[in-house]
Amino acid sequence: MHLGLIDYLILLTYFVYVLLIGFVLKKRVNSSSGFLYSRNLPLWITSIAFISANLGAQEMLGMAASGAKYGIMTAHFYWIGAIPAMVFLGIFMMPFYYGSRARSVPEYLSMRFDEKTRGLNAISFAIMTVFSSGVSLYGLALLLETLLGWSFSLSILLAAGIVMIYTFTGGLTSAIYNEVLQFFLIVLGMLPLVIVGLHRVGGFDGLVHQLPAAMTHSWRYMDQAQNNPMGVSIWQMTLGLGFVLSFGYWCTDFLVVQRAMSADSQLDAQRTPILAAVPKMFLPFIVIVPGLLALALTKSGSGYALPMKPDGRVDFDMTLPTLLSHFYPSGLLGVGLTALMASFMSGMAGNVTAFNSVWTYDIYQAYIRKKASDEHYLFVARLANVGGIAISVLTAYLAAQFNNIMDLLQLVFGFVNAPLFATFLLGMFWKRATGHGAFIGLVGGTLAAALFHGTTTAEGKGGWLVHDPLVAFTSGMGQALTIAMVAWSTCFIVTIVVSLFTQPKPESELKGLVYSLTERPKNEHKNWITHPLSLGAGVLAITFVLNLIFG
Amino acid sequence: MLKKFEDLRFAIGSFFFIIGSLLLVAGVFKGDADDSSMNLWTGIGFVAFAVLALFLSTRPHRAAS
Repeated sequence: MHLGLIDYLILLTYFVYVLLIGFVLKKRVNSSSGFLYSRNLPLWITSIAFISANLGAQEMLGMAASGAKYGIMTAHFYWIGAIPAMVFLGIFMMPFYYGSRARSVPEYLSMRFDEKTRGLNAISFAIMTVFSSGVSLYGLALLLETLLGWSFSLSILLAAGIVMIYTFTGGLTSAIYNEVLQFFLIVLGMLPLVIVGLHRVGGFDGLVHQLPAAMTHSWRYMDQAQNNPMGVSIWQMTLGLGFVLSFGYWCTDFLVVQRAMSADSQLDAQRTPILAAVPKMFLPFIVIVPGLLALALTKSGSGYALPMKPDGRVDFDMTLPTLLSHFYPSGLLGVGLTALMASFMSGMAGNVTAFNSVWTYDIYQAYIRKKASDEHYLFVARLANVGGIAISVLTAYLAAQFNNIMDLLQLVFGFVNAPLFATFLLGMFWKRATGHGAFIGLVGGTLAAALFHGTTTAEGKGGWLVHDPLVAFTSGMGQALTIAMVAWSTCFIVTIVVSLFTQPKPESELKGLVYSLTERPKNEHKNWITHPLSLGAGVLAITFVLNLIFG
Repeated sequence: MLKKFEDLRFAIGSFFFIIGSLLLVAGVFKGDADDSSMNLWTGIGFVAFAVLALFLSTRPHRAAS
């Protein structure tokens, strides 16, 4: 790929703008709260930031790759794996997150359960965010090295340096503003690729005609795992992805919940994930369809071919960059590349700002120094910002040396994340759930996930605990979704059993934290159309129609 | 002038105006017919979006941005 002067100018303009946004927001950062959280952003910003925080580079490259590998089934990561959970978060969970005045998700756990549950969640989340940030950085440097021949170290230092400056100066608000800018850059920058690609294959009908039927139907071939390219059954898809993983991520991950908590009222905090679901349900047309187009164009002999690895296998991860390189002229190529860089950097900034909050409020203030001046906590938060980015850089180099470490980390993160939703579900809707129950349930769910992985295999992976695996799954995806179900169920059952044998918190301490003990605001919503319930119903109805159309 | 960038609508509008203008320049002066057309039409789209965002930024905002 060769960039022209105009491409570099576009890239430079983006860098100038992200730094400028951080600089102009600097004056708002005069306290730790101004740096670490916000409760004054308008609905349109929080909604777009909510989906943009999840629209990192792994998602962009990964979804295009999955589109080419699995077809339209990949859209389930949006239609089943995101939308229902986002609606649930908005209607049922945001009132507790926002209404409790907690500054973070772990802090809510502290209020609802106890300090050890908070500590477990805070420490695992903090580790996850800095490592995820490092993975983003590694991905970006690898992409720039592969496509443009840029130095790996220079790419890392440039991206990490820019992210550090704008998050250090503008804090969380700066990260959120840049996420919104990134969202428009991605949508508007990738749209021409979809339009031109569809034009080349003869429209959507031409695309469907070029591909096998199993790649163009999202539900029809899911009766048996071996009948569809993803290798998952309908139960794994609906319960594993659609319930456990989806709700576990969208309803409990502080990175995304933090965006909704930045809204200027509880009503807007509730509407944030619901309104974010509207563009989210159409994102597959921007991020997955390019993968389908790549496959169709390869089959039609159009001159474009899916990229190959040196060992002769298809390099699905490079699908999107090669499409950009093939179709975009100098100018638009700069926009496409800037959109990719923006998604890497924004993903990194999102993780780092979430890390700052959790480190400062839920680890440092909770366990290391409980009472100090606000200036001290602002100093600690800024130090965490620098430290988080430094660890990300180290992680990026570690990933470059030992690629398997990243696989292992992602596996362990999956074990920790899967049971979390059971803890929150019981915490918010069952007043009898106790801190001991939540803590032991989380640990039990994580251990069950590890045990299940160690006794089963898929695509040659897993089965590290036994000589003969108990179950051999058709695909790694099927195994991962089943592990999630096992972890969730274990956490759910263990939490209930332990709670029944331990002392619950008095009801007076649970007001505003548990559904049955929280007064619902009356007459707050004068217009029924903008009521979160009506919006949620509308969003679910449109998602249902999309599933029917592409079923 | 810098204060205007505190309004995200202005920041987004001005950013896409610059990028759109660069694409229009590339579309008008460079490349073969196909390349020129892609840059031109995308540039027009970006500038139109920018004008909308800049117009919205002239309207009062109820919150901090």
